[in-house]
Parts: sequence; structure tokens; C-alpha cells
Amino acid sequence: MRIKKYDVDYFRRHLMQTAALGLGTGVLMPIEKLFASQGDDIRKVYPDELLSIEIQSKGKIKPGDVIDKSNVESVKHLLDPGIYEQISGPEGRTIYIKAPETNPRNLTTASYYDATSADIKNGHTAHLDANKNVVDEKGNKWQGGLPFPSPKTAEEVWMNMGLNIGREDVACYVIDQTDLDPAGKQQYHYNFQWVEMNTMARTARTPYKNLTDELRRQSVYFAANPDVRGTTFLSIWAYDMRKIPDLYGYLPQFKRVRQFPANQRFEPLVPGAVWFLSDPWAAGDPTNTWGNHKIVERKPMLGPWSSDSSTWNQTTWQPPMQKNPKFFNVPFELCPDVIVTSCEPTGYPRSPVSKRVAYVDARVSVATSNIRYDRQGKMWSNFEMAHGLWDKVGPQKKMYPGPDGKDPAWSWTYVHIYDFQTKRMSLCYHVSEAAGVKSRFQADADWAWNTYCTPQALQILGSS
Amino acid sequence: MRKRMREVAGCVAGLVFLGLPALASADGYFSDLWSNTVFTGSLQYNLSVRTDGDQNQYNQSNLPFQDVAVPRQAYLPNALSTGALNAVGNLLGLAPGSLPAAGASDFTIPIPGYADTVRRGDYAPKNHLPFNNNMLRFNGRVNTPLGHNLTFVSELRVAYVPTLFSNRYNATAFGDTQGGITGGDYYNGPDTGNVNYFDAKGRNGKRLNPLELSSSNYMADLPTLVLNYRNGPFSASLGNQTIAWGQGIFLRTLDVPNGLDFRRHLILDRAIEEYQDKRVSSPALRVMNQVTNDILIDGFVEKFQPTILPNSNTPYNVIPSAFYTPLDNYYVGGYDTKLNYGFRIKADYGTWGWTLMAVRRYNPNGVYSWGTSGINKGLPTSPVTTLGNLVTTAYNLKLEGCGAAYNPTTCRLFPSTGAALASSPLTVGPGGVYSGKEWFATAGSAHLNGLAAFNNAINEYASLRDLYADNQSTVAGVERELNTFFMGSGGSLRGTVQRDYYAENNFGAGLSYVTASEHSLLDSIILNLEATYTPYERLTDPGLAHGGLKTSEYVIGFDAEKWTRWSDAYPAAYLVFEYQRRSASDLVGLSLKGYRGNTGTTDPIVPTGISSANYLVFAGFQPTPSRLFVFEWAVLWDIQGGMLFQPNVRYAPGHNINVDLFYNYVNGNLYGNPTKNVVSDINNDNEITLRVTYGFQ
Repeated sequence: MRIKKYDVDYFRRHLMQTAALGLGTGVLMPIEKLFASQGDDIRKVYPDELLSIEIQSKGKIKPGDVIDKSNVESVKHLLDPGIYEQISGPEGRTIYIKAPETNPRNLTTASYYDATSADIKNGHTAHLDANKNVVDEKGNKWQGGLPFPSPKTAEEVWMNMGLNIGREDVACYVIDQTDLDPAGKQQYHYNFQWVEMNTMARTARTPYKNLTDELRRQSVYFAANPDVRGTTFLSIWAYDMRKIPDLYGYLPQFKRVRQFPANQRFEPLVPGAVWFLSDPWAAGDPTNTWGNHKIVERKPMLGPWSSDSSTWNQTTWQPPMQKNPKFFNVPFELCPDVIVTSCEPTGYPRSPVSKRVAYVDARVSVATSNIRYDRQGKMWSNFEMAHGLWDKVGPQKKMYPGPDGKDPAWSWTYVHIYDFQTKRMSLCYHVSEAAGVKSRFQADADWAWNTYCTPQALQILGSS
Repeated sequence: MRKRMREVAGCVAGLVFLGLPALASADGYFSDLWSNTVFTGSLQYNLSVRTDGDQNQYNQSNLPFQDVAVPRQAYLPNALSTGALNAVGNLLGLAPGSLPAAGASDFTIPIPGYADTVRRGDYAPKNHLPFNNNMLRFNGRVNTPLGHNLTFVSELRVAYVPTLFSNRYNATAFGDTQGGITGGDYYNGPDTGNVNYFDAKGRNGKRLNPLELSSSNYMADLPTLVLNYRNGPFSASLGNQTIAWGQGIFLRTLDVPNGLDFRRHLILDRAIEEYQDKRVSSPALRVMNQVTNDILIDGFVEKFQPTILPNSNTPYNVIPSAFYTPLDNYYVGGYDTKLNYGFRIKADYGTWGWTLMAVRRYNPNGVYSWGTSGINKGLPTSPVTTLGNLVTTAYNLKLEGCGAAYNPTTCRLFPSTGAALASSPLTVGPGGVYSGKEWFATAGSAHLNGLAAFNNAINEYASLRDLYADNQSTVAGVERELNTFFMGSGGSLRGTVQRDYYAENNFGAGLSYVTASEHSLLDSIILNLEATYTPYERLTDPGLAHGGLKTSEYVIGFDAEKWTRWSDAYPAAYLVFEYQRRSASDLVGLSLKGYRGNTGTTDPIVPTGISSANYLVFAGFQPTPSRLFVFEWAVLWDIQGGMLFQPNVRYAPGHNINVDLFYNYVNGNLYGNPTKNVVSDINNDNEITLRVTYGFQ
């Protein structure tokens, strides 16, 4: 038996030392080894203590328990300050605890996991060049899976998050967004399609359309409500993460595609939205347009690291609501190794944001929380995002396959964007279809390109 | 009746298109259509309250000299004096030419006893209309995917002006004065009865827009009725649609494919919406091909559709109501079968891009020129002492059918003065022009040349020469001659103009560049330079000559756009600055040669024109946090001394409701001669507008 040496704080101290010394991920063994062997049990990397909510809460909480105002103090040290505020404050949010996901393959897309594994096995490694862009061992721009499977610096963590946001070469979501006022009443409702098309950093390992200077094209098409329907934006990211993306847009009132200034990224795109272009996935802006990246802490934390699709609506995929209509009723679980990392908007001198802090699952470099702070250092908003498998959706436990046609799809599932200062909420979930647009886990790359990712596509979309 | 049936059939056809998804009651294909079909729509109410004491300067109640008494004196015309001598000779049994020829009077010899003072307001009473715009609107849009590559999109637009608060001008209010305002052989619908907000018809009474139903207070059309096809980088759109080109907004440089429809709120709608509701849609085939990742080729062939102006005496009318509604030759001239076509190549390379375009089109603004009225209404002959009777008597004494021996002194071409006037652009009737001074003032207000317009009418219409009209070389001569005519008509003469269309080639190019700077104020500014050149175009001749004014023109537009943040609390403001220079025409397509004429009740002068028109725009918006409110503004500054300033507050409380409250400050008299700037054309349109929109889906 493990004795005092392995008390509840031992591994927390270990993780902090890891952060301080710039060591890689893994306690019992480097996580790369697990990836390389296509291992399916994270317990080979992390001890039970880091995966047990009972231990981390000193026996006060176990899977199945509900965390609310009455017991939140017992897990305060496992929550980010935003979630803690939502539970302990006037919102009275609740969460419930589920057992942690232990198969690392279920924490990302199958293709990304396989590509990462292949990279490790083949010695395909990444590093940051003089411009802090990701290149491989030969100095080529990155292709493959997670460039830094065992991130040692904050820059590497942020690059992991930003290089391939959706963990697919092509991602095509429909987002249902409800904006609620401080009292929890719906004020605005939107449906929009969000398309990510990586031209580099692809698991296919070849640049799409030979666009080696671009990283990705990202398109957002507003299908509802009627006030914004037809509004479409196309953001073209350069591979060079120092550059602000080019932005093209189709606004119904202008009836044509026009180029738009893209340097202001701290604005709600539509009335009522709490989130900014800068927020999503903690990687809304090119990584190197922010600076002073730091690892603040590494520790086990509770978060929506893997969603439970069996609780969703069978048709729409909407998670269940809780009594407070601002929040979905979702499970949190313990992640053994969370990198708390911050950065500052050094490339945006007029930014109203002083810094952002992301809470990142060190195993796969996916954040579940991205808190931005205003210029006074006060907590402003929390972009809480969850991911999961479409493996047993709804009461029918239906599986939706991903791009390979056999593994269940993995993607983001819901987002809470909560403004701590105004108490407003943008509540989003990954909806199956709405307002004439559909989520597609097997989107054809050429179709996605021609439908969403060119100025011509914007013209057709907007005028339809 | 048959026409009405066609209208109803057209309406039904439109509704069938819009209602296509209703077939979804069947299973299978149609139920899929139904489930995939997206309906969106909006209901909107607009109310614009005048904040200006004066009414529209082109409408009956506020035309120049409305409240000014003008003395008039009739003069002896050349032809009539010579004709009178000949008549005397005839009575004496002398052979023609036996008496010595009289010297040309040149309308300088007053006719004793024929002088008066006229005040047009005695005939056209003031109309104190408090509301400019009182309109209910519905827009419904249906998007039906018909397969992987095909989408059918249709849109129904309805505008309705309730009777309450609307302009109740009625031409019959002039009563029997001069026999009232009468129509003739051609479409004069809006001129002879109730004010008509929406009918836009050709000379033959057929609607200019084939996909439109309209009446005096409503219109319904299908601005979009299009089948979209997409296959890879190729796409095609077939059907009724609009096409917008160019990066520049507000000031159109490369945006040449469509004309504009000004009937609903002129250019005074919420500025940031640009020409969303204005472009005239047209049956067209548009194809686009993204030939490389950076280069797009975009081409179209479309049925030519003209620009539509507000009708006479409607609140935003821009054509002096002393004229009849222009007779549009769109159908009789065969322009309805003409095609516009063009292409552009557009390349974007991130921070910079370029565009080339070439378009062959019929200029949608058209060319206005004097037109035959077709209204057979003779000079008044009662009582016998009227000048009209004297002229009629003299006219009737002339011989009809002189053939090659015709001269206006002894011969006449028509059986009566009414028939002669029917073949001329002038018509006896109230609400026209009452004096020579008013003639020049009216011409000046419309950027026309009163002297040239007078002479062109006489030169181009033998019927007027037949009625003793002669050319004049001076403003004073025109005044004397016109006063004679007006007195002979028993009050005023109304004018008729027609509109024809001419083909032209537009060649254009554009460059765009996005700045990068360490200084945040200079960073990420999008700069666009666009230019077009039209080597042979025809504008409306300021003298209303047939065939218009042949010229060439370049238009250069420059704009700079930027988002900038002023504070931590507020989102970034959007700012756009624009400049446009036009070498031959103004913003609405009128020749600059008609500028710098006289204005209001100033003494008549001949316009000397301006060499170029230069416009500046500064517009933008500042949202509040969460964009609940957006403060918008747009300033159009004509550097010759005119300004249109529109501040707007948009409130989006949610629940698909938007409320706009905006003010249009219009001042064409900032400095200098107001007829040197285009803003003075809408100088009386100061108003505050409340607009409430409810959207549904």
C-alpha cells in the first residue's frame, strides 16, 4: 500500500515541480509512452490519487454526488474561480460528479489521437522556431497530431490548443446560442454554422490545396435569427501565428463580400452575445498575438472534461437544463493534471482584457475553461467548454461515427459563457441541425471548402 | 380586365413559388423539402415625421414662387405679328407679301391690356403634411434546398401606406381651373388623381418591374426569385436577383449592375443598410468561379431594368410636379428586351487585392428629354377677351396643310391648338409653371438649363413653332415669351418629359490594401481605391434635348475603414471614411453642366455648371456593451456646400425586435450656391424616423 509519502498533496506537489522544472506530462510514466503504445488506460500515467474525487475531497465527495452551495467548499481547490463563483454565488449553480474518463483515446478525436501516436512512434517532433511558430524536426511547418504531446512550456500548451482547434482537419458544427439576461430570461437566440478547415497542421499530413502559408480557414454563417440571417464571416489564419487573420464578411445589407478589419477581437459579434471572437477554445486569436505566456499551476481539477452524451436530447443533442435556466445540468469529473496557464494581449494594445487564464487538460491540451480578466484585474467572463464523444447519445444510446466512419465522433458539446460583472449568459450547445444547417462529422473537405471557405462561398451563403 | 387578370396570375405565380414548400403535405421528397425549407420574415413599421416647416420643394404646395406674386405681360410674337399683317392683307384682297414685312417683334412689343399678376399659391394651396413616411412593410424569404447542389430562394416584399397620416394630395383639388389636370394618350396615372406612392409604369401603362404588383398605396414584388446551383468552385444563380460589386459602400463606384428603386424612402433609410432595399432586381444569370484560391471570376447577363424614382407629389419626389410623371419609353423603345452583361475578376491576397471589371449596360438612370404629351387640350377661348382666344383665333385663321410651303405665320400643321399642344411637350392645365421666373427657378431646382430647355422644346417640336413660339437668346426674352404662353394658356402650362435609355461601357479597376503599423490608430485600416471610366455615356441634357448629352466620365472612389476601441467598457467603433470624385454627373446621375443655376426665387440665370462633383462620407457605429444599443451615424458632405447627417440609435431588446430612431438632417445651404450641390435637391427632407422591426423564423 502507498503510505504517507503519497498523501493527497504529494502528487499535487509533484505536478507543481513538473511545472517549475519544465518537465513533461506524466507522473508514473511519460504520457508519450502511453500514446505511442496506443494505450487505453490513463492510470498507467497517473496514480489513483489524482483520479479519485474521494481522495481529492478528503472523502467528502464521490461520483454521483451533486455539488452545490452546501458542499462546494470541499472541492473549492479543485474548481476554477469562475465555476466556484457560479456555485457559491447568487446563481446557485449545481454540478454533479461522474467517474473520470480513463481512456485517453476518448479525450480527443480518433484521427488526432492516432496521428499523435504515429508522430511519437516515428520521431516526428515539434519545436518552436525563432518566430515561435511550430515546426518539425526538419524545420518544416507542422503536419500531424498534437505537436507537443507532453508540453513543457506555456507557449507549447497554447500552440497545442491553437494549431488545430477542433482536432479534425475539417470540422463543421451548428451552434445553438441563447443569450439570457441577468434574471435568466431569454433575450436573443441564434443558430450559426461554424466551419474549421485546417490547411496545415493536418492529420492528413499534406497541405490542403497547397496553402502552406495558411493555417486554416474558419467560417461562421448565421442562419438564425432573422435579424442576422445571411451574415457570414470568413477568417483566414496565416500559419505565422504572429499575424492577425484576414477577415471577409457578407452582410445582408451590403449584398456583397467585403473585407473587414480584423484587429478588434474583443467585440460581441451579435447583440446579446457575451463571448468575443477572441474567446473560443481559448484560442480565438493567433497564439503569438498574445504574449507573456506563463504556466501558473499544475494540479488535478474538476471540469467537464468528457461529456455524458446519454443525457442529451435524442434529436437535438441539447444537454439537460438545471433549475437555473442559465446553466445546463452537466457532469464534472476529475482531471489528474490540469495546466493553469495565462497570457496577456500584448498584440492588442487597446484590448479591454488584461489577461486570460486557461485550464487545460495536460493529457490532450484541451481547455475546459478560459477566464478573461478586465483591465482592473477583475474576473470578466468564463468560457466554459466541454467536449465528449457522440458514443451513446440520448435515451436510445445512439452512436454517431466520426470521419473514419467507425469511431464515435468527438467534439465540443456545450459552452457556458458567463459574464461575472453583468450576470448575463450566452448558452451554447452543439446542435444536430437548425435553421437549415446541419452538423456534419463526416464533412467532405472539398464540399466544406467550396461551401464555406472562399469569398465566393460567402456570397452564395449570404444570398441564400 | 385582361390586364388585371394578368396581374392576378402573376401574383398567384409568385405565391405558388413562395408556397412551394406547402406541397410538403405529401410524403417523401416534398416532406423533405418542407423539413429543409427555412422561412424568415419581418414586419416593420416606419414613421417619419417632418421637422421642416417647408414641404418638399418639388411638390405642388412648395414649388418655387408658391407664395410670391409675379407680374406677367403678354408680348406679340414674331410669327403672329407677321401673320397678322398677312391677315390684314388677305382681308384687303392683297396678294401675300404685298404689304411690307413687319420687323421681328422678338416678344418685345407688349400686347396692351394683357398684363396680370400671378401667385401660384392661389391655385395650389399649401399642404401641411406632418409625415413623410408612414409605411408598413413585410418581407418574407423562403430558402428551399432542392438537392445537394441546388437551392431555390424566393423573397416577397410588401409595402403599404395606410391612408391615415398619408399625403392626401389629389389633382382634382385644382377643380376646373384651366379644365383641371387632365391625362392624354399615355400613362398619366399619378398626375390626374390621388397621390400614387408606388405605381411605376411605362408610357404604355405597363409596370416597369414585371414581378411587381402595385397600386397607389401598396406594392408587392419578388426581389429574389432565384435558383442557385453550386458545384465545387463553380456556382450559378438564375432568376430575379440583385448584384452588388465593389468594396466601397454608400458611394457607388464599381457597383454598376443594378439601378436603384427610390420609391420607399429615397436615400433616407437607415444609412448603414446601404442599398439593401434599393437595388432594382433583375432576371439574370450570374456565374462565379473561384478559379484559384485567390482569384474569383464573376460574370452576369441580366435583363435591363431601370432606376425608379418616387412619383409626383409623394413626400420624397425629386421631379418638379409642374411636370407630368415622365413618360417612360422602357417598353415602347424596346429597352425591355435589352441585356446588360459584364464580368469582374477579383483577387485577394490577404493584405492586398485587386479587381478588374467591364460591363456593357444600359444606364439605368436613363436620359430625360422633352416628350410629346399626347394631351389634346386647347388654349382657353372663353371669355372671348382672353389671350388664349386671341391666339386661337389667329391660329385658326392660318391655313392647314400648306405642305412644302409651310411657314408658321400663315400655315398651321394641326386642326386646333389642342391638337398642336398634344404634339408638344406642353399642356394647358393648373399646377404647372405660371411665370418665366418660375420656369427658371424650377429648372434650377432640377439642375436644368431653363434657356436651353426652352429653345430645345421649340427647336424639336414644330407644334410649338406652329403656335408662334420662337427661339430666344436671352433669359429676359425667354421670360417674356413664356409669360405670354402662360397667359395664353389661362394660367400655367405643364411639361412632359420622357425617359430613354442608352447603352454604355463601364471599365473599372480597384485596389485594396490593409495597413499594418505599430501604432494602433494606423493599424489594420482597410484602404480601397476604385475607379471606373465610361468612354461614351449619355446623361440627361440640362436643356432636355432629345438624345441627351454625350460625354465621357470617370469616377474615382477611395475609402478607408477601421475598427477602433476608445475605452475598455465599450466595444470597438466601426469607422468608414470615403471620398468620391465624379467628372460628369452627380450622385444621382444628373449632368454637372446643369449645376450653378438659380435657386428659389432668385433672378433667373443660366447654369454654368461645375467641373466635378466631390463627395465625402464619414460613417460608423459604436455599440454599447453586449450591443443592446448601437449608435450609428452617417455624414454625406458635398464639398460644394451640402450635408446630409443621419444619427441613429438602434435598440435591440431581443425577442427579434429592433427599434431604430434616426434623424435626417439635410442642409443644402451650408455655404455657397445651393445649386452647386446635390444635397439641396432634398433640402426639405429634414425628418425624424421611428422604425420598429419584428423578425420571425
